[in-house]
Amino acid sequence: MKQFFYFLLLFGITLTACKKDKTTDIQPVDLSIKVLYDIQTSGYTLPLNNVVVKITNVNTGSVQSTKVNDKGEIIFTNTPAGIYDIDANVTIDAANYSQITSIQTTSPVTFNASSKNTQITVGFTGSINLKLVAGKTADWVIKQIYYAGSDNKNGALYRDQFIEFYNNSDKVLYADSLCFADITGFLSGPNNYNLLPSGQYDWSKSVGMPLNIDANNDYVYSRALFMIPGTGKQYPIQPGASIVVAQNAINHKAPFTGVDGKVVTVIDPSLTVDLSGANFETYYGNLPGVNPLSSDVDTQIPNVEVIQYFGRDMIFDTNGRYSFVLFKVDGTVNVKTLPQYNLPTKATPAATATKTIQIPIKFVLDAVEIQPNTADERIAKKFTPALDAGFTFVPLGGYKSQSVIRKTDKTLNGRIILKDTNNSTEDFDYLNIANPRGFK
Amino acid sequence: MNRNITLFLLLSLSFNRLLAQQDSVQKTVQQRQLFFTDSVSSALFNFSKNSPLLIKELIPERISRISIGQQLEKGKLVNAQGSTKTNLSYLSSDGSINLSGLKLYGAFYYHKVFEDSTRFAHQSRNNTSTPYYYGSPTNNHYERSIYNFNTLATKDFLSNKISAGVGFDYHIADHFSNNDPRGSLKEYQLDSKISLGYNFTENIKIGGGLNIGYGKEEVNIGYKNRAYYESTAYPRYVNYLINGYGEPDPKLTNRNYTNGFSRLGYNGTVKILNTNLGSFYFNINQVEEKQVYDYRTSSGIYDLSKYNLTKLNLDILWTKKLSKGTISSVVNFVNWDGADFNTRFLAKNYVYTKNEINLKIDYAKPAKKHLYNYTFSLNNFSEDRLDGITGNKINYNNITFNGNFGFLSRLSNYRSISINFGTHYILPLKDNFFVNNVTEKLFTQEVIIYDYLYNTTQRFGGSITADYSFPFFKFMQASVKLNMVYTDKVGMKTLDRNVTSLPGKDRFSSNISLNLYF
Repeated sequence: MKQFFYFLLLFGITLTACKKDKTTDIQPVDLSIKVLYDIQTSGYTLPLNNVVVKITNVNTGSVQSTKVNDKGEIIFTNTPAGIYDIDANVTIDAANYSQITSIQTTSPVTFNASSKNTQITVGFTGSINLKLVAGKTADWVIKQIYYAGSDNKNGALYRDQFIEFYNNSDKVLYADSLCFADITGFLSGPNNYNLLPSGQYDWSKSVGMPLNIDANNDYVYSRALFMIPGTGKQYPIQPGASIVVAQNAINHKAPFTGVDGKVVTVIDPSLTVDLSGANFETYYGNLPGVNPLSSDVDTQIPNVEVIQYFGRDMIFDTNGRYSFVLFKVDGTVNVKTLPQYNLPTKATPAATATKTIQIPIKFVLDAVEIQPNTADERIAKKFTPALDAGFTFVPLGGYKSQSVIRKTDKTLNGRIILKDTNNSTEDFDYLNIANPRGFK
Repeated sequence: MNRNITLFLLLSLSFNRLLAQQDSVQKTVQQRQLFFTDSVSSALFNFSKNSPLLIKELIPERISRISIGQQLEKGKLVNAQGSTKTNLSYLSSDGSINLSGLKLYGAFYYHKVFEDSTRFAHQSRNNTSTPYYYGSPTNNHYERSIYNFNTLATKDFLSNKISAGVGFDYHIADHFSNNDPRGSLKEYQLDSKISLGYNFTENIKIGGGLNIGYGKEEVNIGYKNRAYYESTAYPRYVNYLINGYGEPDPKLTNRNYTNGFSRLGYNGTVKILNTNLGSFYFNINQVEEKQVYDYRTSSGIYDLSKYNLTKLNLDILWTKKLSKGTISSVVNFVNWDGADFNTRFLAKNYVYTKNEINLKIDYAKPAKKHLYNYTFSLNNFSEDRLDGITGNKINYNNITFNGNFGFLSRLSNYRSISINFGTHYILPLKDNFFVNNVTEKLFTQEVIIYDYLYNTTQRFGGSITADYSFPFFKFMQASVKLNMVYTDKVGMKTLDRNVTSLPGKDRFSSNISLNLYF
């Protein structure tokens, strides 16, 4: 019997020894955020208590939103560690803004700040500071971007892509010499590049980049650049009207004959768009060294001037990894002679390596950051809040006929005014089937 | 004439001997069938499977049975990741034999399961404490093919002073859903026990040894409809990666992983037999299980998560022959402690604890042509889940009372009939519920909150089992068994928050089987 009691004693010791630590190493954090206006040298003070801060968990999609106190501070308690998009936004009405700043304006002024893909680590105790900047709003806006294309079997693949620009002002504007560019940035993959902490290219490390400029904040870099032709007043655009630039200005719903003489048809015309009414198209058939796609038919629609290109036509990335700017240079600058730089590779680039065109953001009229549709494919933001505080995307992803479209803000005397707060997350929605000149 | 008489006498004698032999065979196989209708014998038989060192005393020298059956479970009074309708067909067989002092027990079963509506669980049903798995909100139709092989063997050496025992459990299964998202899970597990015992006397024996095992799960989620994985625009078809006990992340690409298991632990057995107070059996089994989740490509293997689970089982059996019957009492203590290593945050995020205390008392009272079985059991079950990222902390503790009364009547010609009535009542004792409402989305609402409500719901039910047994092909005993269980929801908590999904009213299960004993 003695052995039995020894056994029980041993068993008791074993059980005691097995007691485990039943706490986790991770706890939710109190996320402290402080916002302030980026107007330190202005001599006036703008109110903070209407600033709304929104935090969005990139993975789970859960959102919290609240106003800051009059010091611009807010604490989100019990916040799970993770990756967050943090956005701050405030709109000051015109009268108030004019009174405080003595800068006369007739439109409300919107300030944005954002910190995208922000890692809130385990045990985070610091504070995130956001600087509110007034977005540049212009008379021209990018209204619709159909980058996703349509079904690769039943639709028109990517040959039906287009981009639409809109006169959001109350006066006639001229599209002549208006430029737009497909903006490049670091996507993913082997890290052979000099990168910023944000994960984007550090352009200041590009070969030959001048040291006396802010290469990362004052410029964006294109991989394709186009210019609308014209003599200066050749293409007037009425208030509330738009121009559509198509990859191919043809009715993609109907059969057409490609440059190789073969008839191209779509199985399901409802998936694609009629671009025969586009204002401009791109044509690569006359570009040196390009073997254009058979769909690159040179129609009667005027062609845009192709200043920089890649591939066999104006093909937008159907995954949404590149972004777009609309700009117009002043008389001091020739778009065709803008400086060009290599990607900021760690190794010295080859002489034949692709170059990007450096576009000063002071010429940018509107910018829209596009991102892939799923959180795990998100890439580092290319644009600063001064250009676009947010980003947009088509929810279904590539080849699903969807386009991103700027929301209607209001209608004034029959003229539709599109929303432009310089934050495409707020300003853009999507269409299930792209619709040139449509509204949402 | 004399010759004829002699022949007649010889034939008669042979025939009578044949009849007697036949009679003896039928009696033997009926006794084997009756062994399983005796609640105490069954309790001892089941207890013996804990260790190879227990089968010598607790399993008959020779017994075999084969069962084929069909089980249907239906009703929405089920945990969130359970199936609201399950159809199970099974074939099982087990038996024991003594080959020159080598006592062997072997078992096999095959289950074919059809689950009608499984949600948020692209999982097997035997690793449910894990924090790392895939799940989808839609109702998946799951098919599972499960094979289990178990063997236990023991032999005494050195004038019966030393006992050696080994045991092997091999489990192989294939689980898949035939609607989007199409989960596919292939698994195998191999566990072994190696034990050595020292017999102090004929009646006091002690032993111990090692538990060693390993296994693998390969999980893959496929789709027929590409649109369901190209975006999160169809939320019910999104494949989520559950990694802890909070809101999961959509996992649209690289939807596969491998989970490698390794197990190491110890076992111990003490037997104190035939005392004035009866016989006592103590058994302990402990296993430290390590689960390593990884993603494999041609360019390498990437760690996704780690989960360590310590399982401790302590079982105590007491049995004694009383003046009018036999009594047995089994006390069983189960403790599981699990903790993960979250590779995203490089820290422990998830903690799991399960504690279970079972007490089961069986009393079997034979009469002339009858057998009465009385069973009473108590089960105290508690489970804790802690998720660090969200701060979610859920604990519940409940107790199940179970009472059964059975009656068996022996009929003529080796036939018998038995009927058993049971009742059960599940009473929640205490609980703790903190779910971070900042992160609350679909998984929180439809799994975490739902399960909390289910596990803290009072339930009451009853069961009835009828069994008719008869000789079969003269060398076997057959029984046809029908069993029905009904459980009803008696009372449920209310929560002061948005509740989108509630456990259903009741659950019903039925089972019909043909069992052959030989």
